Parts: sequence; C-alpha cells; structure tokens
Amino acid sequence: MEIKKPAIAGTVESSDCLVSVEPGDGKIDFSLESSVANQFGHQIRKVTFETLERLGVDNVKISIVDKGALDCTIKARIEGAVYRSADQYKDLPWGGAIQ
Amino acid sequence: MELQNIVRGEPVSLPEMLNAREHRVYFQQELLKKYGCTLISFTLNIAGPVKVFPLAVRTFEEGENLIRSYCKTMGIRLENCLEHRDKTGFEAFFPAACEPEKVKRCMVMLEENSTLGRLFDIDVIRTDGRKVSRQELGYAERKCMICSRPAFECSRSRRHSVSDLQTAAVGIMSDYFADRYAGRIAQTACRALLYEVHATPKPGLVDSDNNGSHADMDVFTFESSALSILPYFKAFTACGINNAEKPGREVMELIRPIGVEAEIEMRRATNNVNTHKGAIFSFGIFCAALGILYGRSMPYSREKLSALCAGIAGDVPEELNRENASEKEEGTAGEICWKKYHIGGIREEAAKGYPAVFNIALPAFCSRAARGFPLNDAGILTLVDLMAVTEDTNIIHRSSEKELRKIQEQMKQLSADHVEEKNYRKVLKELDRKFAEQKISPGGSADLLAITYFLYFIEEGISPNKI
Repeated sequence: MEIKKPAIAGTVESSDCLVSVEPGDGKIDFSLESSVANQFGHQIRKVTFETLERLGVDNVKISIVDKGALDCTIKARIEGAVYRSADQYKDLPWGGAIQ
Repeated sequence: MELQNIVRGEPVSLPEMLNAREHRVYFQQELLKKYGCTLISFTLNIAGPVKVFPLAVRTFEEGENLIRSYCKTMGIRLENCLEHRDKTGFEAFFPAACEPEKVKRCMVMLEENSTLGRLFDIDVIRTDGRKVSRQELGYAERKCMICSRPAFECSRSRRHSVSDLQTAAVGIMSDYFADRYAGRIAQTACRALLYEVHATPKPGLVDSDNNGSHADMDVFTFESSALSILPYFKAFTACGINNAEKPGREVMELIRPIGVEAEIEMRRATNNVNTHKGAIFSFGIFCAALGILYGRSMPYSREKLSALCAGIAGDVPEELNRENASEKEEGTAGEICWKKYHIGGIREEAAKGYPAVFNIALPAFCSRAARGFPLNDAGILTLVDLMAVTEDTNIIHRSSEKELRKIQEQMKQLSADHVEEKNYRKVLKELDRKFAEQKISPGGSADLLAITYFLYFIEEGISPNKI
C-alpha cells in the first residue's frame, strides 16, 4: 500500500498507542516514544516492521507514542493509520488484515 | 459465587475497544472546547472481554459519587456530568472549573484512599488536551492489583491471566459492598438498642425516666453496652455473607464464638453487668440471617428472614436438654427456667423464626408508626403486645411462672381495652412503679422490642440489599 497523506490512529490512554504515518522518502523511517521502551522497545519495533511488511508498505515515516499497548493493539493501530492514509475511514479492519 | 456468574455480560472485541478509546478521546476534545476548563474522565479498570456486569455498574456509580463528594469537599466546582454507557465500559466526564493540578491531586487522593480506588481510572486533562500525570506531581505510579509491581509492566507483559485479574477485581468490589452492608446493618442494630432503652415509660425496665427494677444499671450503662458490641454485629453479618450457602445450623456454630466475644466486651464496658446478653443472642441470629440474604442476593422479605432465623437457631432448644443433663451449677435465666418449668424462652422463639416479632410486634409497630405514633410510643405499646405473648424467662427467673402468666393476662387485657387509644403513658407509668416494687423486669420482651425497632429501621431503608 502507498501512504498518500498523513494520518493517525490510536490514543495515549494507558495500554494504547498513538500511531502517526506520513509519506516517506523511499524507506521506512521509524520513531518510538514508549513508557516501556527499555523492556519492550525491541519488540515494538519488530511488530511495527512485520505489520508494515504484510501491508506492503515500504515508504513511510511512522512514529509511535506507546503507553504500554499489547502487540495486537500496536498491529491494529498501525493498520488503522495506514488505511486512513489511503482514505479509508469507516469500518477499519482493526487487527483484521493481519492475523 | 462463581466468577462466571458474576462477570456476566456481552463480550467486546479488540476492534470495538480500540474504536471506543478513540471515540472517548474525540469526545474529551469536544468537551475541552465546549467548556474551556479542566476535564475529569472516569472509567473502570477491568480486564477481560466483559466490561459491563451488575457489580461493575454498581462500582462505576459508586466511583461517580465519590468523585462528586471529593470535588465538593475540596471546593472543586463540577460544571456538568456526561455519561456514556456502552458495552465497551461505562465512561463519565466532569468538566471542572479548577486548575488541573489541584483536581489531579484530589483524584489521586480518591484513588489511593478508597478500597475501590484501584479499579478507578480517573484522568485529569488540561485545556490543551494533555493529561496531568501522577509522576509530574510526585506521586508513585499505579501498582498492579495482584503483585504490586508497576501496573504497566504487568499489563504489557501479560504477567497475570485474565481470570486472575477478574478474580482480583471482583474480590475488591464484592468486599467493598459487603463490608459497607455489614457496617450499616451493625449501625442499625446499635441504633435499635438505643431506641429500645430510651423508649419511656417501660414497666420494670431501664428507660430515660428511671432504672426500673434494676439497681446496677442505668440508661448510660445500656448506651455503653450497645456501642461496645457494634463491631460484633458487623462480624455476625459478615459471617452470614461469607457462609451464605451453608446450612443455618453450621452458621450458628460459626457465630457462637463471635457472640462469646461480644459478651466479654459488653461486660468490660458495663463493669460486668449483663445488659445485652439476650440481645446479643437474637441480634447475632438476625444479623447473620441478613448477611445470608445479602450473600445469596435475595431480596428482603419478612418470610425469608424468619425462615433463615429458624434455620440458624433450629438446634438451639435441643441444647437445653444437654445442658440440663450436664447439671451445670449456674446458668442463665433461660437455662434455669428450662430446668424448673420446661419453658424454652428465647431459644424456642428463635428456633420457630421469631413468630412473636414477625406475627405480632412488627406488624403492630409498623401500623402505629404509619398512624403517626412517635417511635417512642409505638415502641412502648408494642412492648405491651410482646409481654402478652412472650415466655419471658427474665420475669420467671426474678419472680415465678405464676407471676409471668398473671402479667401476660394483664397485658392481654390492656390490649383488649385498646390502651393505645387512651392515656397509655399514665397506665405504663403506673405499671412501671408496680414492677419496680416487685422487682419484675421483662428483659426478654425488651430484647424482642429492640429487634422490632431493628427490623422497622431495616425495612425503612428499603431492601437491605440496597443499604
């Protein structure tokens, strides 16, 4: 999928994360701010890259503000942001495209 | 009760939860725009797919009330209260006309003070949309409700199973409401004892006018006594709640040691005078029975309460035979009367489910209260009804069975003469003088009058499950 315009999904409530995406400059540009970065930073990065790969996204600036979200929540929020950037707002398949 | 019977409701999916969270944040932003002041956002912290079930709803409403009370006490003006009641978890929003840090301090105090606090998520949001964090105000981060590690660590690593988390949350909620119920039952019992002793005039009994037939106690002795046994009323009730599914006879064995302790405390408070021994017996049974009603989530009814009392006290009269056989040297008035006259007294009354209270005293008392009699007067008139039917072993013990029968007849006559329509106060005052001369004291009937006040107050507070 192609990231056409900036989009966000999620919240900074506890156990959630706020994912922002915007068109990249030819690669995946990942930034993370997390309350559990020390313990889970690596895992969050892994989940992010896996999710983007399965969505076929390879050109994106993605930033995640994480408040202790579980992997399934992170996946779903990334999907949400990506779909919104492709102008799909309703019936977002939270967690649906990637099982 | 089993966990799956308590956490019963519509499960929500992850996408539904994620949508709900985004909507909550959008709604918060709208409110910040509309009110232009600090915003309190309240949700419950409940793990698992079922967010809304009756105990959780009660906890949510309790949380809303606590937020209102804390804000009121701390001088924080709430502009409004907006609610979302969806299956993804109830939410409440309070725009607050106050600086955000002060509001957050107040809400942290609530979360830390209330035993329900661990289940509350109370966010305080500044007008620019940023939350006030615990950390920036110097408070410790929230702890896991199971192992007291930092909460985010356990939730991120899924250290605990959903059912362990549900069990912990349900435990906190049920304990909170059960404890409050037991506390209120105990207060009500204590209140009933105070109303009983202050009801004046009562023939031969301690009241506000005089000490009746008693030289060793007055109204203050009774007040001290009533207060000293309040914690045991709570313990009787808690015992009923925690053993609601056990047969009544087993519950009797469990409340007996509480009664023994209550009596020790009573004697300490009264300088070794027996003020409320009989009352401890009956209130112990009633408190436990009300606890069982609560524990079984049964609505209050006189019939059920009476049957539960009978179940608890069912074996008690039997013990008189055993105690008789052991030929104890000293006994209570009730034990001695059984030996001499085979009158079962309060034990038989209890084993039958207190018919004198449920069939006679309580309906008569309620009818008088409804007709506008002051509670004092409804009480002293109901004492006449009780004395007419009660096998009052206190009277026998201090005089004789013959005297008891004479008094019962006399009381029946008073009722037949419609004393309540006449100058009953004067009649009872005269009886008080006579009883005091002859050292007659209808203590057994007085205990049942206290129970009558108790049930009147309980019923006044609607169903005890709502107390």
